[in-house]
Amino acid sequence: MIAKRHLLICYIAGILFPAINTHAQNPLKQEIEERIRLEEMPEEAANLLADWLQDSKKIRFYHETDGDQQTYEAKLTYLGRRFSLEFNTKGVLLDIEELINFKELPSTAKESITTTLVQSYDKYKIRRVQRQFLPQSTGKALLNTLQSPSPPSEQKGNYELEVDVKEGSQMRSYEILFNTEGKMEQRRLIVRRSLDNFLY
Amino acid sequence: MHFLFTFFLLLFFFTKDGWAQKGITLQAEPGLSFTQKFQGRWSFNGKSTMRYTFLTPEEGGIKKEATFNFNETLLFATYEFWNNVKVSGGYGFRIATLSESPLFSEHRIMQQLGAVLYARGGKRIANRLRLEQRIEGSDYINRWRYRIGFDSPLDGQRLDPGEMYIILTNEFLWSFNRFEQNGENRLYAGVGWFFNSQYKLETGLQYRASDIGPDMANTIWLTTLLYINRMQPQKKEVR
Repeated sequence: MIAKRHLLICYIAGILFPAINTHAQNPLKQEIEERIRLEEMPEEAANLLADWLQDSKKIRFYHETDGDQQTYEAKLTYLGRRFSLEFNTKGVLLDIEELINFKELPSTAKESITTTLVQSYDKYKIRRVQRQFLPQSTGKALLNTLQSPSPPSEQKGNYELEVDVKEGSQMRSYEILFNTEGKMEQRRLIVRRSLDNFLY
Repeated sequence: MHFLFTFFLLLFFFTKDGWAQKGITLQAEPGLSFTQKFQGRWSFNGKSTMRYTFLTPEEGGIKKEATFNFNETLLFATYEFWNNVKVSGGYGFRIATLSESPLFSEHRIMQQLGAVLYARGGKRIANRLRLEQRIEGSDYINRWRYRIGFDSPLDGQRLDPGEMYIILTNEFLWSFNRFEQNGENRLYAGVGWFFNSQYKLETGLQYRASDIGPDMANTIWLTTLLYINRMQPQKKEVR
């Protein structure tokens, strides 16, 4: 009987305690991302994507909000290239990111990025590289450019790298944006999910 | 969600034959895990659980009685020597009762290496190798254990505050000393509620096949753990 009561108290405390704290201490904006269907994408975005979707595989759609701003994202593999296309709520194309290998970068950009990383960090490891294309005129024009027969290496864009680094006594991960020439433009700290449920 | 349902179903069928032959022990283990960052790359973890038994197989049937078994507390100091690669050293103990001596029914020294093998689109595969030296009274036994696990948000490609996740793990344990040895396998499927970067609650079912061989014993565990993590906020910040 005592054991049953003991157990009941533990379970109730375990369930209530975090719920109370979550509501009490969460003034920060929350970014929420969820998977959606094509029909839930803005109509303009769906129309813009129509041609690409016919030749694409592994198609996924997402909706993201941080409380103030909302964006829509399509992830797909188009003719063997892995793209992520971001739209606003009106269906206007904001940017396209393509997953590539670091060795695919032009040699000047590669050298500049490597120099920056070597000078900035004690140790680093590049985990992921994306080429970022921003629409110069219209989203349709950008999509046409990417469909053109020019090789991907000739299609200019910024580069977004996810990098694990040793910085002083800290191990950190950053998302770093470099421009076409390989100059650093922006750096965001990526805070990794805790491993406590795997380790302990 | 379908995936989780299928896994629990498989878990049930996997264990069904064992239940029929030897009966099943049903236990529950609620607990709390607390992680605190130290200076540099050091962190500390303390985890305390209470174990209860509800069903025990015995001749002619199953004994239904809720009994408190023990409290187990594990303390770890962890050093991260590269991103998501961590080495830990720790000490643990069990207290079965406060009213009888000796107070500690077991002491345990532990060494551990943990690393993430894959992390993409919110999905992670991580593994852990742990070596334990367990001392119970005058008995000493080594235990080597290897665990591999997978977790994933149930919606989207990122685990946001307020979302749920699933976790699946399998662990093999080998206990040995100069007189005896035995193997054990622990299969676990759980769901978690990620309240925010510092709090998450995880609950699940674990199937333990111990003394693997002709005398194999089966145990089903209901585990519930509240994880408190004071390492860092989980948000991307513009620098």
